[in-house]
Amino acid sequence: MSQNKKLTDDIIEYVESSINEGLDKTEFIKELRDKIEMYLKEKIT
Amino acid sequence: MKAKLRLENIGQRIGEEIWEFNSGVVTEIRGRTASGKSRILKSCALALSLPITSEEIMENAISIGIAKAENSECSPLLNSNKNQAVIDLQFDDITKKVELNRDGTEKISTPGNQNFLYCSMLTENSKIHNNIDQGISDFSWIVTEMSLAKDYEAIQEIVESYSDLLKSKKEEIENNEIDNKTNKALLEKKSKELEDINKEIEELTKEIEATKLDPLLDQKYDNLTNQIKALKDKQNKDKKKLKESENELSNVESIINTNNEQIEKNLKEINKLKIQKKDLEEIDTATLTKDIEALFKENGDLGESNTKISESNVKLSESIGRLDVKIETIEDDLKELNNNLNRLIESKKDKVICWTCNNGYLNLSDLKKKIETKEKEGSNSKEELKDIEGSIKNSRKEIDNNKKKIESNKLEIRNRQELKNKKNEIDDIEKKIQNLSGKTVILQNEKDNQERKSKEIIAKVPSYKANLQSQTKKIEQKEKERDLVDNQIKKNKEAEPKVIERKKLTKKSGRVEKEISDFEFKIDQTSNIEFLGFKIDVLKAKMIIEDLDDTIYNVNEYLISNIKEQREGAALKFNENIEKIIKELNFSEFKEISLDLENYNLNIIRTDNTYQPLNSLSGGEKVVVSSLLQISAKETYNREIPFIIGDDIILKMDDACREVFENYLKTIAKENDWFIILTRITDEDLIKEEI
Repeated sequence: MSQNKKLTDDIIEYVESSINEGLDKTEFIKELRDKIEMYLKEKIT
Repeated sequence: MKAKLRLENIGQRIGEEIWEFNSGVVTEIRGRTASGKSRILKSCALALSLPITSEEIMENAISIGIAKAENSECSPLLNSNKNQAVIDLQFDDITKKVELNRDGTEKISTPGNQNFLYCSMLTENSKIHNNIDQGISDFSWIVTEMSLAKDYEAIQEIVESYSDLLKSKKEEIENNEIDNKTNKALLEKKSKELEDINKEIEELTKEIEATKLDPLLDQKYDNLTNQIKALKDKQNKDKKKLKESENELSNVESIINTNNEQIEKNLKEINKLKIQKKDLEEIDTATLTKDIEALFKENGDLGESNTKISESNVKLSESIGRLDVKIETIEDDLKELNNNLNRLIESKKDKVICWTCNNGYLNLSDLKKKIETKEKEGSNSKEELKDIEGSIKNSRKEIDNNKKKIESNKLEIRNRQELKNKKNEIDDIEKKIQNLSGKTVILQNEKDNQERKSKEIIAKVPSYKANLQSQTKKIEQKEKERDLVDNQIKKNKEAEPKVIERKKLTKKSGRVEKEISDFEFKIDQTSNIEFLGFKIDVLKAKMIIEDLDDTIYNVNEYLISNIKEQREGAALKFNENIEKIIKELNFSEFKEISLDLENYNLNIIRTDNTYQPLNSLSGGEKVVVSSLLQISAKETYNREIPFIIGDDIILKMDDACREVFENYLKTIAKENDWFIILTRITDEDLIKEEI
C-alpha cells in the first residue's frame, strides 16, 4: 500500500473514531496535524 | 417514574423550592402572568441541555431566555440579589445538577443534550417556530444539527484549511521555480562576466609589472600628505594654545593692575577715615555740654533782662505822657501870662487879674517873674522828656543787642550739638575702615594668585614656542620628502592609466562577485520551501504536496458523501415521523408536511392539494406546525431524554387544534412514559396539576 493511500485511510479511520467518541475539534486539529507531519517526515527522509 | 426538581434562587424566588412530576402524564403549571411558571420550565430545559457548544443553539438558548447573552453579567435565571443559583433535576437514577454563578460561570454535574432546545422545548421562541413565523422554508440546518452531518461538516472545515494551505504552497513553488530559473540564468551571465574581468586584470598586471612601476608610491605620497596634515594640525593646536596663553596673561595682568588701583584707592580712603575718626575722638563732649548749658543760661538771662527793660520802657513812656501834658499846661500858662502881660502893658494898669496865678492880681514884675519861672519849668520838663526819650532809645538798643546775642548763642548751641552728634559717627567710620581693610586683603590675595598664575603662564610660553619651531622643521622636512615622491610619481605617470584601469576593473570585479553571491543566496532561498515547520527541497515538495493534495481531496470526498448520507437519512426519518404524527393527530387541514430531500426546504400541502407558503399560515397554524415539527424532531433525534416542555404554547393554538394536540400529548406521554410539562396562564396562584 502506498504511503498516500495509507495516510488517507488513516485519516478517514480517525474521522470515524472521533465522531463515534464525540468530536473534540481541538483534539482533532492537533491529531490531524501530527499525522500529516509524520507523513512529511517519512517522505523527506 | 418520578422526577424531582429542586430550585434555589431561581428567578424572582429566593431560597429553595421543590417540584415533583410524574411521567406518563401531562402536568400543567398554572398561575397568573409573571407568577414564575416559565422559570420552572426553563430551569428544567437548561439542566437537560447543557453544555451548549453549537453557536446556533446558543443563539436559540439566549432567545429562549436560559443562557447568558454576551453583554450580560450572568445567567438570566439567577436571582438578581443572589450570587449563586442551583437547579437539581433527578429522574430514573439520573441527576442533573447545575450551579449558576454571579461571575457568569456555570458548573454541571452530568452533561445533557443541547438538541433538547430545538426538539423538546415547545415555545414561540424556538428556532423552528421562528423560522416558520418568518417564512423561512430552508430547514437544512435541522438535518445537519440533529445528525452526525454537523460533526462531518466541522471536520470538513478543518480538512479544507489544509486544501487552502496546499494551494498557497503550490503557488509558492511555482513562483520559486520561475524565480530560480531567472536567477540561474543571471548567475551564469554574471559568472561569465567575472571570468572576463579577471582575465583582463591579469593582463593589465603583467603590463604594469613590465614598466617596473612602484605600486607603493601613491601610498607613500598619501602617507606623507597625511603626516604633514597631522603635523600642521598639531602645530595649529599649539599655536592656538600659545595664543590662548598670551590672552590669558594679558587678562591676568589687567586683573593685577585693576586690583592694585583698587587697593591704593582703598588705602587712601582708610587713611582719610582714620583722620576723621581721630578728629572726632578729640571732641570733648563734657565741655560741649557745659558750654551749651552756659549758653542756654545766658540766653535765659538776656531774655529776662529784655523783659525788665521793656517793663521799664513802659513806665518811661507813661512818664513821657505825663511830661507832655505838663509841658502843654506850662505852654498854655505861658500863653495866658504873656496875654496878661500884653494886656497889662496896653491897659497901663498896675495890676491885672491873673487866673493862672490862682485868681490873684499880678503886676508886671510878678508877671515877668512868673513867666520866667514858667519858662524855666517848661524848659526843665522838656529836658527831662529828652532824657527819658534818650533812656528809652538806649534800652531798645540794649534789647536789640540782647536779641542778637541770643541768636548768636542759639547758633553756637547748634554747632556744639552737631559736634556732639558727630562723635557718635565714630563706630560707623570704624566699620567702614574694617570693611575696606577686609576687601583690600581679598584684593591683595587675588592679586597674589594672579601673579602666581602669570608666572606659570610665562614659564609655559617658551616650551610652546620651542614646539612650534620643531614642528615647522619637521613639516619642512616631510614636504621635501613628499616633493621627492611626487617627482617619482610624475616620472611613472606613463603607467598610470593602466593602474587606474586595473583599479576600476578590480572594483567592478568586487561588484560582480557581490551580485553573484546575491544570486546564489536567492537561488538557495528559492530552492526550498517551508511547510508545516519542515524545510523541503522545491522538487521534492512539489511531489509531496501533489500527493497530500490527493489525500485531502479523497478525505474531503469521503466527508461530502457522509454529510449527504447523514442529512438524507435524518430528513427521511424526520419526514416519516411527521407523517406518522399527522396521521395520529388526524389533522384535517394538512395532507403532507415534509422536507424536500434535494434542498431540505419545508413543504406544506393542504388537504385540497394546494401548496401552503409558510408566511401565509395563520398564527394558530404556525404554532401547530412548529410544535408538530418539534415533536417529530424529538421522536427522530432526541428520544433518549424523556421530557417535553411547552411554555404557554397550547393556548396559542386554534380551539379545534388545542384539544387534539393536548390529547396527543397525553397519548405520547403515556406511550413513551415521558414527562410532559406545560404552563398555562390562569387567575390562580401558582399551582401544579396533572391533566
